[in-house]
Amino acid sequence: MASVRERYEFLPRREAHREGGGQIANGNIPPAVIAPKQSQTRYVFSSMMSGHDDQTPDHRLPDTAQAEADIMFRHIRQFVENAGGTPSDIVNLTFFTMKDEFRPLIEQGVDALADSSKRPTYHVVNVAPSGLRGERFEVVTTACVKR
Amino acid sequence: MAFPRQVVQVPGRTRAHSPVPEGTRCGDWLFSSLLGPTNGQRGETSREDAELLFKRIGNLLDAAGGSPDNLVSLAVYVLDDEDRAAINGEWVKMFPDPADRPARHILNVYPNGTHWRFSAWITAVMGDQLGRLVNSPMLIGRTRGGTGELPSDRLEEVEVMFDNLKSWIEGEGGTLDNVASVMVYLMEDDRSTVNTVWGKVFPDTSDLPCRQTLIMQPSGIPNAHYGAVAIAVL
Repeated sequence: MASVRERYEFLPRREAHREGGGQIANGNIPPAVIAPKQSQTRYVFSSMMSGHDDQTPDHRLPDTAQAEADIMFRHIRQFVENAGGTPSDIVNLTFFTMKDEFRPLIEQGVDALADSSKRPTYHVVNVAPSGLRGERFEVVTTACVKR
Repeated sequence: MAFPRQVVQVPGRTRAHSPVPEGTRCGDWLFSSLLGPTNGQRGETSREDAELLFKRIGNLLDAAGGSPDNLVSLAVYVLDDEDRAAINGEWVKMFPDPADRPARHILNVYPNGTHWRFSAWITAVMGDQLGRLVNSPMLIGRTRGGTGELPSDRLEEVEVMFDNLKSWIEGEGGTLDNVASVMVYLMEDDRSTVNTVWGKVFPDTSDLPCRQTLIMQPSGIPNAHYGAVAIAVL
């Protein structure tokens, strides 16, 4: 049987992901998949998405939480828009954070994605003390897009 | 309802000690409960546990009429970062083609997030009858839709949390019958209170959502002892 899923690269500069030691960077896991691949209506599932700066050669984390949040939310937009959707097509955002003080940044980012009537469902879980490895926050995203 | 919920039983596994099914199918969605590396046995090493975990995932997919080709997303919760290597080893065995692997994330849930060395939660697509997938926000046990008082009694807090879950799905145009999966976050290892209320909300053990339970001590969710995030298919 053929697989129901299709590997989905949502960042345009994929060569940047060969930097670093992460599982997406070394090709062990995809950044996202789309399924079912033959349908008109398809769901898009991300692996862990972060605010690592894909515009820098070493793909480093920004110095400030604001900059990291800006990049993470840019990635969220690219995730859904490059699949043919809009932020209102996001079904769910699950954020993981290491400090509650970052929640306002996440909430502001979600608010900016779409009008309140079309805003994605989301929740935030604090995974301190060990949940993330250097990142201040990360997110897993699901969206539903039509061809 | 458009997509009857179907509990997926894996041959040879018993649910005698668990109030949640191995997996639940709703339309062509398949969700698992939290799967640990057990199959009547427990590994001595992380490598053995990883083998058991992926075998259990494969068994569930098989029991649902699918295979690893149907898996679209895998979440793994680990207590020890060092165990990622063992998980990656089994991952490559189950998905040998780098161009055709599911989405995946691994989250550290130290110090006590899961009762196992590590555990997993899967989402699979078995066909194209998928309806509309809806997710809830974080639902907690505060009255008046999650903004009011937190009950002092833990049982009441969980009851109110599930009342809020019911209100949420009804607001989406569905009923509790449409709920396919529930992630429950605990601030303490208090599954028994959750299980008590769960049994009242979903009394028919042949027709209930799957459930994942994670202990998110010490931080988790602010201002509540329990939180739930539901997935429903409408």
